[in-house]
Order: sequence, then C-alpha cells, then structure tokens
Amino acid sequence: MRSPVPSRPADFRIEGRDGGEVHASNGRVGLTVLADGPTKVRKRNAIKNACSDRAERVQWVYGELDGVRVYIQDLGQSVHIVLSKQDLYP
Amino acid sequence: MAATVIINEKNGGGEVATDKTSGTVRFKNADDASVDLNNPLVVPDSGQEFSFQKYLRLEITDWGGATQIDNLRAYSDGANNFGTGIKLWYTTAGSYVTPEIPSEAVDPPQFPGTGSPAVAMQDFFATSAGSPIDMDAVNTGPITAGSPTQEIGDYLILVMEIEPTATQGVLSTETLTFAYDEI
Repeated sequence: MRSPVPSRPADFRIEGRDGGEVHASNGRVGLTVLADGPTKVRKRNAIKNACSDRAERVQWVYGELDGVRVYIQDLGQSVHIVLSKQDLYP
Repeated sequence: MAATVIINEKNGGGEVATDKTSGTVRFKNADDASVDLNNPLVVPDSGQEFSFQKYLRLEITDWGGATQIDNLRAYSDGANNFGTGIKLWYTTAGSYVTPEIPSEAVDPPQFPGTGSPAVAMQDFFATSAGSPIDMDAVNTGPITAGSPTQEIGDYLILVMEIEPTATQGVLSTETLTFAYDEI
C-alpha cells in the first residue's frame, strides 16, 4: 500500500525540447520559453516533511534562458513567480 | 500526470524496502523499519551512543507519462530541533551494505561503520535548500522511463548520535526534503 501523501493542486505538462522553444502548462498557468538562446524547462518536484505524517508533494516549474531562470509555483489561489540565476529548491 | 516517487527505508541483509514517504523513520538500536519502543537509544554516561544506520532511497513506482528524472537532492531545514546532545549525521553511497552501528570509539561516526576506507559522516542540519545533498553523484542521471518500478539515485545514510547531555524521551519529528527534476 502506498503512502497517502496529499497530491499537489495541478501537474505541469512540458512540450518542446531543450534548446528550442518550450511550453509548460497545468491548464491554469502557462510558461513559454522562446529559443533566443540555450533553453530548458523542468518540473522541480519535492517531497517536503518527508518520512512524517506531514509529508507534502510540492511542484514548481522553471524555465531557463541563457542561464536566467523563472520559477513558477501555482498555489491555487495565486501564482508565485521568482526570477533568478540561482538553483532554487522548494 | 507526474511520476510517482516514494521514499524507501532499506533494512537487513536482503535490503528489504519499506515505504516511508509519509511514515516515521525511527532511529534505534536495531536494524528494522518498525516504529516502536523496542531497542531504544540510551543516553550514555560518557562518550556517545550511535544508532544503526538508516538507508533511504527514492523509487519511481509509476512514471505517469514522465520521460526523464534527474537532479536528485535531499536537505534539512537547516536547524537541529532535536535538542541538546542529539545530532544527526549523513553520508551518501552508491550501493547498499547491511546497516550497522558505527564504531562508538570515533566521533563523528565513520562510514562505513566498520572497515575501511572510512570517511567522517557530516552534520545533516548543515544542509538546506540553499546547500542540498547531491543524491545522484554516484548513480548519475538522467533516469529515463523504463521499468514500471525503479529505484533511483544514491542512498542517503543517516545515523543519530546521543550524548550524555541529551534528555530522555521520544523526539519530535524533524524536517527532511527530497527534490528532483522531471520532464
């Protein structure tokens, strides 16, 4: 039997390839990275408070263009966006 | 739909896996995944007491349409709230060895617990989201969609240390986060 970790509000779907134009969307929030330089889009997942009954799955999506990243978290009622060159984790 | 990734605790010579994604990992004087009061760690009069090593590893149980996973990481919240005289040490490894209690003659604990070459384990609470543990340094990614279930990345090995200044009793939980990238 698998652990009953609460599911995140919405999963992002990524279309496109590294280096080209890439789209990510969860049906409510969308991100497009144009191929104006080296590109990459990933879902960054985390299991926070792991190994406890407070375990929670969190998903960000980030798009990268020329080493600059935009991180997006859909919080349901709002969207949090961070623009940075840093490698950030939930 | 995203891939389903769980956290297994591994025990015994047979590397028995127990899903601990949302279950307690109990540090004790026995190599098992049971969350009970058997084989407790004892506050020593001097020196230190180490727990059995705890081996944790990620497993993909359902790819869910994902095609690639990589950039595995683990980290704490950067603060030890276990209390005075209680520490948590970590290291990583690419393969499994039956868990053991590190030699209590050496502090911090060494990995492997006995034998050589040994390296000093590191303070788990020195890790954070800004300074995470690389969990695919040996078993490198990216991991691409293949078998229906698949263990991935390196093992996170944890050891709890109890010093004479510790207070008796069951501890509250601490924060552990596993993270990974997915396409």
